[in-house]
Amino acid sequence: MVKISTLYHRVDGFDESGSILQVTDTLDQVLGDNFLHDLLGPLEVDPGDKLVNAILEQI
Amino acid sequence: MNDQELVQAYIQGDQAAIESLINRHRSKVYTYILLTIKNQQLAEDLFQETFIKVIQSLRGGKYRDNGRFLSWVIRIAHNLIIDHFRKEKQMNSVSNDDTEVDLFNSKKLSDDNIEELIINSQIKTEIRILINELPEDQREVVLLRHYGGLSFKEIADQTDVSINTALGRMRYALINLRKLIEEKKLSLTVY
Repeated sequence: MVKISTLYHRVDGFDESGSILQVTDTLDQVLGDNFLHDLLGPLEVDPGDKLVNAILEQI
Repeated sequence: MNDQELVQAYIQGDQAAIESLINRHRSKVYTYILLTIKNQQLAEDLFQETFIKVIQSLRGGKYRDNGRFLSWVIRIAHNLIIDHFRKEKQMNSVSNDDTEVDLFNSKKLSDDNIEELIINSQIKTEIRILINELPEDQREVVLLRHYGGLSFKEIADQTDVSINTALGRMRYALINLRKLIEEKKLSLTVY
């Protein structure tokens, strides 16, 4: 059986110009957002119904 | 109903729609204000002012719906915070840091056992310290991004810098936060 490595396998029609950088940037943003979600999620505070009712009474 | 549908419903006279919108986003908006301004009483005032302005803008037909209602609300909150700091600077009043905020007075925690409550409180205190240790411009980008879901273009417009600067600030903020977590050997698992 012949084994073909996919490590350096070239995909036809794949645009390599600058795409690696864009993918890295997008990945960085996704990872950054996930990190912030994990970090800041627990800090979320509910202002409570009283405050919301005070707004609704004013309109 | 999604935000866009609720906005349309409110504009067409459905009063309950605005209540749904406020309830849907109230925690994110309030937390954004609270973490930025670090004063509970002031945060409550600005939270109310923000949504009053939101309602006035909706009634006045000033909202252009692009499916990003929360980002728009956060931008209004951000502007009100800036206005507040400007007024405060003019009046040369005392710093807001004088009043500490109890971020842990959450109903969600009331059913937890005491040990978990303590651990949760410690973790939240540590996270709050981490956020406060960031330079102001980096903290601003982090909070706008996380709580408002603003794009970097919107953050750049809002903070009057280029997109590259906004992206750079976020990059440094993340590096700094990770470094601080490592330096302080923090374990940030919340139960």
